[in-house]
Order: sequence, then C-alpha cells, then structure tokens
Amino acid sequence: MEQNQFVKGSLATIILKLLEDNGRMYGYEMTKAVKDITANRMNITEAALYPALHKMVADGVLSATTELVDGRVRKYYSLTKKGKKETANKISALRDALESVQLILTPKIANG
Amino acid sequence: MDKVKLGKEQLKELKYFIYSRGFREPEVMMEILDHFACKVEDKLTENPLLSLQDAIKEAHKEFGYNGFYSIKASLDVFTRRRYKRIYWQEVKKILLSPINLLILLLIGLCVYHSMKWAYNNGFYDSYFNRNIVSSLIILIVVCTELIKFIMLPRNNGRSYHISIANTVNYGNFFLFWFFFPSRKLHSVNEILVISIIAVLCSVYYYITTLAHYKMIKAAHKDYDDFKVLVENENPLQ
Repeated sequence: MEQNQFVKGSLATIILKLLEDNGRMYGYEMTKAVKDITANRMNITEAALYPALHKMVADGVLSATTELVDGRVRKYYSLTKKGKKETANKISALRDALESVQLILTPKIANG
Repeated sequence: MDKVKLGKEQLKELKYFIYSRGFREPEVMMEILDHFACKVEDKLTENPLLSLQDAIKEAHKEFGYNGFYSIKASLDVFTRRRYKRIYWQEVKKILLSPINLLILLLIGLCVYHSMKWAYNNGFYDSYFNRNIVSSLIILIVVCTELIKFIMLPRNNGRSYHISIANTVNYGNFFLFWFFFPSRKLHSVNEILVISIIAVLCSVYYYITTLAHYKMIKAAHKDYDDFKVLVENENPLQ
C-alpha cells in the first residue's frame, strides 16, 4: 500500500524516463518494463497508468499515435518537445526529493 | 519459449468479454483490448496448459476491483477535455482573425443601426409585437440551427457524442427570445440598451456557432481516422 502511494506520486516521472530511454512505448509495455527493471518489486496498475497517460497527452507532454498491430489497435506514446524539457526537470526534482528523504532516514553520526 | 500471439477468433472472444462487461463503444473497447490481449498472451505464454477462458479471467482479475472502468473513466475525461480545448482554441482563433473581426464588426454595426432604426420608426411584427429586426434575427438563428442540424456531419462515435454534449450551443437561440422584449419601446435609453444587447447576442452567436462547427468537424475527423484503423465499425467483428 505504502509502495503504491510512492509509485503514484512519481508515476509521471517514471513514464517520462521510460519514454526518454525507449523512444515510444504502449501502455502494457510500460507496466512490463517497470516490473522487469525493478525485478517485480514495483507494479504499475492500469487504474493508475491510464489516467496518468491521458492527462499527460492532454497537457501536451506526450503525443499518442495509433497503429494496427496483431489485429488490434495499439496506442504508442512518445515525448513531445515540451515533454523532453519536462523530463530533465522532473527527474532532478525526484532525485532531490529522494536525497532529502534519505537524509531523514539515515541516522546522523555525531561529531566528536 | 515462443510468445503466444492471439488469433482473430481468440481476439473475438476477448472482445465479447469486454462487451459483456458493459464496455460497448468501439473507441473504449479498442483502448482496453490491446492491454488486455497483451496480458492474456503473457498468461498463455507462462502457462501453455491454461485455457483461453481461464487466461481471460486471470488477466481481468489483475485489472483490480474496478476492472476496465478506470480506463473508460479516464478516457471520458480526456476526450471531454480535448474537445473543450479545441472549442476554446477555435474561439481564440476567431477573435484573432482579421477577416472574422471584420465580419463581427459588420454584424455589430448592421444589427445596432437596424435595431435603432426599427424602434425609432415603429416597425413591429403584428404576431409577437416584437421589433421586426429582432424577429428577423430570431428567424435567422432558428434557420441556422436547422441547417446545422441537417448539414453537420454525424456519426455514432463516442468522440462525436462527447463533443456535442460539451457545448451549450443548442440553447443559444433562447437567449435572443429572452433578451429581445415583445413590447414597444419608447425611451431612448431602453432602445440603446436593447440594441447593444442585440449586438452582443449576435456576435456571441456567430463566434460560438463557428467554434462549435469546427469542433464537430474535428470530432468527425477523429472518428474517420479511427475507422480507417479498425476494419469494421462493429466492435464484435
């Protein structure tokens, strides 16, 4: 549950990073990539992924193109110009946040 | 191990399953289908002994308590936002286009002067006892709405219905009925106020009608693009 909350908070950054690395991806491919990279420790649910993808398309961060693959319509997402700019900012913001959390969680060694 | 790929008949079973869960609009079904099919293919690859029906049930369970609903709900919100954005972009374009601004200026001047002229000379229609120019404007609006109803491209697509539901355009001509009084005006100030209201209503009607038309055309194009992708309009075929 706690991990789910954490994933939800950083989902947009995760999507942006995946698309930066892979060019274009479809929904299921993203969930699989996250599972594979984190060795099944992190799971993105459809209920969280699709609203995030749709919102990012509406905001102009991602663009969506559809193709007929294996007899069904597949929607590929890729970064727009705005999305490419936002990726770097989001990643550095998430890194800063993680470092801050790390500082809180790691006990300080008192000098002397 | 080779990855299982679903054939046409198996995809048809998946479509029936989605359909039986109440997701019947082709665009929604297609949004769900690929993700669902990928999941089912993975289930069948992991366990070749699994039957298609069991793989479908297992894959559906993984969508969680709300099933496919979260995808549909999100798609609805996104589509509504998309057409709202197109509508307001068109309004902005009209207001920034010199040709449209000139047309708006001409409409404004024409309505303003003809209203004042009709009031000052006592031209009232005998049926509604309304200023004859007001009646003429209401008639033009009613005719435009009728022409729109007959001429605008229509389809059964979700995008089309959402785009229609998105705008308040259909109630526009009641504005004119409400604002243009069906009584004789004598005071100069009253005539001035009503003439200005008539100008504002006409300009508003021109802008919203044009933006609405462009938005419907965009929705129609979306549906045509979608139809090119799927071979048949019937989602179960």
